[in-house]
Amino acid sequence: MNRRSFLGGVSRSGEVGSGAVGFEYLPGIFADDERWTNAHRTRPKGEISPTPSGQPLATTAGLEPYVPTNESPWDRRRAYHLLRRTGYAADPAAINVALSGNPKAAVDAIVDAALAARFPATPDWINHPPPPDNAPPDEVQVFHDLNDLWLYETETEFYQESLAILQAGTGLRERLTLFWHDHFVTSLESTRTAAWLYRYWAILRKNALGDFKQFVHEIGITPAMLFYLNGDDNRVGEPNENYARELMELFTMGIEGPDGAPNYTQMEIEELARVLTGWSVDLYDTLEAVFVPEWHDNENKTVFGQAGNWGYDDLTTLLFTQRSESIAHFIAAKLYRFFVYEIASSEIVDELATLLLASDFRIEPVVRTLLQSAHFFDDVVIGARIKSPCDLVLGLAVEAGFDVNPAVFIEFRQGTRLLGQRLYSPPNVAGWPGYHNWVDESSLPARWLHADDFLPKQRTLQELALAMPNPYAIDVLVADFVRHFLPVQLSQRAINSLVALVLNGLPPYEWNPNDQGAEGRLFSLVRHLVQLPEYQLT
Amino acid sequence: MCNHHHSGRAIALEEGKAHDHDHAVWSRRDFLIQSGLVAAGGAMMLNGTPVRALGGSSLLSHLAQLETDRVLVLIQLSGGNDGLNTVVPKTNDLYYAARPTIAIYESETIPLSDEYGLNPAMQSMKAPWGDGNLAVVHSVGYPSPTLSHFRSTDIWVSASDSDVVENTGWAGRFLESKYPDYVTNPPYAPPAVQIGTSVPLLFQAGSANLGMALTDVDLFLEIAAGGTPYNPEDVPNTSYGAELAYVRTVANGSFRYLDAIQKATDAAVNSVNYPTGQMPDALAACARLIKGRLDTRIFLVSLGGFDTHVDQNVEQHKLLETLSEAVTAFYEDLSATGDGDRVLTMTFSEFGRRIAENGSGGTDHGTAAPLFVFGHGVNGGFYGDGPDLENTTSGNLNFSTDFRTVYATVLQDWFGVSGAAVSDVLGGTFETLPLVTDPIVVPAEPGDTPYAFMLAQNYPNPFNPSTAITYTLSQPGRVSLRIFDERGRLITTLVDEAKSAGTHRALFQADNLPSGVYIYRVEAPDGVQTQRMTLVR
Repeated sequence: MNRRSFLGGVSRSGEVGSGAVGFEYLPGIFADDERWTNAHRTRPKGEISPTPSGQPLATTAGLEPYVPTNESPWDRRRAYHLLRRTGYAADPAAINVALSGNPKAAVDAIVDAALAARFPATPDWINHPPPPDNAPPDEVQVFHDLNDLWLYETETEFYQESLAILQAGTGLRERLTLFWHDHFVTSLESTRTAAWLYRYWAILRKNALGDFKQFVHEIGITPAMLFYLNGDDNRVGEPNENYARELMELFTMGIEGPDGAPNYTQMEIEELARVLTGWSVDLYDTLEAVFVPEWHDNENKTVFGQAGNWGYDDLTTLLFTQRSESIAHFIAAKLYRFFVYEIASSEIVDELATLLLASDFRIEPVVRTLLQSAHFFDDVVIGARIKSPCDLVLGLAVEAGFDVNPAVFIEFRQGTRLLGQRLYSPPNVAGWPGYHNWVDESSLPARWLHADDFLPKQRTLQELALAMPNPYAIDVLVADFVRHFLPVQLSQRAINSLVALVLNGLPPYEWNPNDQGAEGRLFSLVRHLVQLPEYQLT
Repeated sequence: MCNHHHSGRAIALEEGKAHDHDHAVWSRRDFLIQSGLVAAGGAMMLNGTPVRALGGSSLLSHLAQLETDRVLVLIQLSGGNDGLNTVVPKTNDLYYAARPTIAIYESETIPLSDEYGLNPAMQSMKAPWGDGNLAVVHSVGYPSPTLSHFRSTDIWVSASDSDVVENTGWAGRFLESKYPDYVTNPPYAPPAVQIGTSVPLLFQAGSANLGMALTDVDLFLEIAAGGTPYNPEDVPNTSYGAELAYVRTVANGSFRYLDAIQKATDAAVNSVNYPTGQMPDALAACARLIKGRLDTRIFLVSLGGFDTHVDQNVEQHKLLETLSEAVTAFYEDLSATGDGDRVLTMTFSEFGRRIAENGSGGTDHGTAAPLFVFGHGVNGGFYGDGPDLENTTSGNLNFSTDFRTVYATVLQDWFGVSGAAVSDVLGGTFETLPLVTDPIVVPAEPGDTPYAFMLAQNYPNPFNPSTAITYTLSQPGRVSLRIFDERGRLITTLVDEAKSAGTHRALFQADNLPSGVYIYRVEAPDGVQTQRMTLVR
């Protein structure tokens, strides 16, 4: 009997994350781009070189603190930018709070809230003893049913924590937790047992802004990772090098260092695998990782030129003393791509790596500095990221002002799956490919479909309108809605068209956001906004 | 079969009944997800989860097969068109008393009948009226009217009662029944097109919005000229611009209907000049698409500005003139290619206006009003009772024709939707008006009529010497009614011919037969039924 399959139950199904849908319609709004404005058009021509996709951002702004100026004011646009990049989206109240102080204070508030956020209470069920091999089928079935429930609770907790940005301003931590899930990848398919998933997620959450060295130490010996990359099969005399390879290639340093030299050899992978031997998981009682001394390789190993009878406790010392530069660059680049832009700027990454080294691999100071930098708030950064499905689905909910309830969490999980980001199931150990891979001819209509499906059920747009500065002036309201949903403001002409769309032939004085029919008009407006290509960017 | 995979049961445990609801809500998306899997070669179960989990009844799926190339064009008169100054009660003293400064004199109107005349702005409607191509449906409205523009528009397009908030549109529900697998297998051409307007609910169905929105005519012309909705070239010279260009390119590639629109517009031109303005331009675009045989059933255009609180006679005159001239041009254009016969055009407005004028030379929000139906397929003339200015409610007209009666007429007689399915779309049974000259007669379908197949007990029984046998057919077809004796020998054939659906009666004369038990038996497309009767001499 395969004990792991026994505990996890029969796979209910294979699932795919991407929605290959044929649903399409034309949301078209404006044909020619002259009607669009953008925040960059006033930049004199020739000052920056053409920046096609695949080039770093064209800006000279660095990590020095962002100081508002007339050219780059601390305004609603930048406040939205900060809150979108740290918490998916923002409600109007959060924007007002952010703008009540300076940008440094706004970033400090977000990072401090994430650091101070309480951890959700660990559920009792993670210590629920699994049934023995000879348990009657009914008992096994009950365990599987409970396991399903716990998996659902784990996912729900993710949504609750992610959206804590709304109530407690702490959502950055869970957003980074998802980032680390995409970094230290495991897959539910390889575990299927809720206790393992929960422990894995708790490590991501606990270390999200913490000590990266400790993070690396803990993640390698959590059952989900031991199963996913075969650490549990890695034994003396028959080493399995899967985890050792990915630990270096994908989780810490990359194949090459910042100078282009290889970080390790095949021999070093094999030697590192021997260092990691001996770990397994108690499948019968605690479901915890266990070290079995007789499965550990007790001979000398040579890693990065260092010879010794290394064991797991030596792992981070070996990595972080011998390859600290490479690791710092690798992680800095990844954080940059997450918070700023897909194509990393090597200068900024160098600076971030220096910071990471100086902080002894504590993540929080690096994130704080990056978020407070002139680079982060530069015009060219705003709107240059392609939204992930979680960005889109959770962001739309926050923007629309949804009510937090279990039914909405079901929308989230189905929506993110439909759009290709099924939680706990990145396609492979490298994580979701992201960037342009998120948006193609089948996923873009699926994104429209999601918004079409989600928004009418919420019926919250009137409340959103009433939270705006001037909901009774339809032209002002439309401009505020554009700013609320899109990273750039549209031209006056485009706004006028949208006003006409909402009014549908009525004179502006007939507009009343309290009117029972206003919800449908606002839906019509938002439907157009979220179908614009601009909405795919953040 | 629960498709929620690993957590489906979890939801059931946690939320009990809520799970069933979630299941229905989500089975469509699960289907989408799974269709990806099917493409990858995996076998996914769909049993128990119909594609259309959200909308309508089983009846709707049956009517999808009704093929017709008929088209409906809806013209929304946005803002609330004043009915009394559109179809003027030219001999009604109460009308003139209520509107001392804005009433239209009898001499100015275009006479339609002894009692009514059209607003003088509608000169070009003289010919259609004379030719019987214009129907006026009087006093259309609904019970418990609301005077809110938005709410009343929602009621009109959702076809709901005024105290019900319905989140789908009547046209969307109808089209969804024609395209039940729209989400997973959308047609080549859009089922509905709206140009230059957005009526949020009209084309919304339970599963999707079936309307393609061309928010302005320029976009239509751009697409017609082979262009795309979004220009990936004209973006800012930044990383944001580069990424925007990427998404725009993808968006252009995602629009399935571009090809259909371009092919239709390539195949047709406008052969007349239209008056200037957005609404005429939009109608011209519709004409081009219809003439180019775009397989679209419903078009929507909108003419705004009818909210005439001030200076009504100036404003409404312009609008009604535009409406009349644009519709006239539209039919001339369509007739040039023989397409006029298959296009019915109908106006609607969220409400009419107050009977009495206000102090600004205008009228305030009101209730019932006439609507127009144009086209060669129309039985011209008046329908319904004219406005009753004596019996009013709070200074407003009472309606005489429920707006859903007009929808029922269009659906049943113009599009050939069966009566039961029409009731399904409209959420109730409404009469129809005989305003379509050549209604599509719907073949009855099982369970689709008020009739159930039945062979009734004869009357009287026992009998001597004659009795009546009554039978009901749910569908038309060849019917036989035969009499046998107790040993099964055929005595006579009373009926052997095609009969319509409904109840029929045959007389049996037993003049030369002995007393005893006889058997009568009906055979029809519905099936076979047998009864016994007793002859007592």
